[in-house]
Amino acid sequence: MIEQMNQNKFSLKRFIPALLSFLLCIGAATIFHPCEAKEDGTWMHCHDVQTAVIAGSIFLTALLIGSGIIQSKRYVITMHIAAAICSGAMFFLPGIIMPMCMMHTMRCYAVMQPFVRIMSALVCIFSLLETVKNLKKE
Amino acid sequence: MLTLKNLPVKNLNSYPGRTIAMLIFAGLMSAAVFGGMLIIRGLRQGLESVQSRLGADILVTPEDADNDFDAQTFLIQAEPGYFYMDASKLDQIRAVEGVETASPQMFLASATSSCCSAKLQIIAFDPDTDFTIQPWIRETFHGAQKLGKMDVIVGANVTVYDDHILRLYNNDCRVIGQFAPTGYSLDNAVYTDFETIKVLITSSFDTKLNKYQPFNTEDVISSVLVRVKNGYDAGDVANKIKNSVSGLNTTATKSMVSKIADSLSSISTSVHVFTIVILFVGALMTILIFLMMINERTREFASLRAMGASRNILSYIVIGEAVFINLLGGLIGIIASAVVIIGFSGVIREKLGIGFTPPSPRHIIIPAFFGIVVALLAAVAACLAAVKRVNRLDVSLVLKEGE
Repeated sequence: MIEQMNQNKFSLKRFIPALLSFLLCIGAATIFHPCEAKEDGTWMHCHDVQTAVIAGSIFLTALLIGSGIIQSKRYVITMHIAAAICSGAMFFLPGIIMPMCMMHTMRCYAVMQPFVRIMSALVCIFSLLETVKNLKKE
Repeated sequence: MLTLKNLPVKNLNSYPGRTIAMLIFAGLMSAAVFGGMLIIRGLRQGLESVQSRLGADILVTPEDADNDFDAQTFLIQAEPGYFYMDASKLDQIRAVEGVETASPQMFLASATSSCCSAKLQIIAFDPDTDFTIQPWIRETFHGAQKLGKMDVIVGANVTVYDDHILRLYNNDCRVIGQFAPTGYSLDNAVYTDFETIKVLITSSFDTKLNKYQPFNTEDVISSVLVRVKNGYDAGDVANKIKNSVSGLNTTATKSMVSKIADSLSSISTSVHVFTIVILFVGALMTILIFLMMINERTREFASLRAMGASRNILSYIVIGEAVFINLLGGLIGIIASAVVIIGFSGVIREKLGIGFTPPSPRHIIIPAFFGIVVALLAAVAACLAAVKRVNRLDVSLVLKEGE
């Protein structure tokens, strides 16, 4: 009985990757946003990267919240591996997978790219740690 | 199983709040020392780099170029601009006493590209007389790199995605290389030779994007870089050029760099003061936390003594905890600091207002070493105070107090 209670114990630690990917989404949409629109009102290339990062991080957040709620270890491991791969891909999204603006001095390179890379690396590391932890339990 | 070896780590695990507080202070101290050294190193590297790149003693520009060229801010926040003067001025400058060699340059600013609102500064040099850009090319490419027609070399801040083709005024220019970063506006430019820029200027007239009326590109230059003969003062020669050739402005390149050097010096002072304050607070808090911890755990240490643990074993436990936590905190502080400083180097450059280049990995090792040493020194100071207190424990008195 006690063992079962321990297994079901609600642990906030499991939600750290979800919280990080949520912060990635909020940050990319607000403080760490890319360049503003051009004078003629059209968007620069980096706007597409921002959209992709926000969409990706919403998916990641949902995936990682799910992995924190679901009890089956196998599903949890699979979801964390998927999250690690997605966040790894997101690391390379700004400037490598998707082109951004021309100058490294522009906001998308100076502010958004490092933020996305730091946060996606953290999500990837925490997802991998959770995977290893769950594999050990399994 | 509980062993003497893993006891310090188990103790730290048992008090997560205190452990996190100590990690934060150790991390802060290391981050302050490491980050401070990294920023100063990066600023110095930028200054050295731009000094070596300038190459010339005097920069001569047309008098009416004031709106497009400010010598004091040119290296830091130059907006792409272009201006022209009569090419015959070059020979007049060469004739001035004290001028060893003079090389012309031509400028053009690109129209905004399709990707974004970025404009590029295009700088063209004369391959026959140039003594500033070609040495830079030789150094970057480890030998002679010839620029062919419509070939360009881009500065470190310019990104080219389309198969090394840069489209300027409807012309496809082949990007044959990229310069290493200097941290200054030289990184934002595209470099080419006279032959290519003349095609680009003509195209800018054809597309009606040039602010000037069409002119013969053979008859104009934008600036002249001058190297002064040995024994002559650059300031004196600059004055002579200004007095003997009409319609020119002269700037001694030393004066362009001296303001940056002054800013660097004041930033270094601020960083040093900030680091010392953080170190003082961090070390004080580490020592206080350790003394409070010893006070809280007197019964634990007294029990260990009663069970036969020697004073050396108690000292080992305290030292083990202090060294482990400070080492871990120091490492976390250094990694976090490196990630933030290198990642956000563009923002740091903008906020400081002078060139900053993130140091190379081999230049990171020494600051990292000092960061760890500082965290360990704080651990030693905390240990000295804590061990002294543990060794003074009167076991029987402490155990009786709880009865």
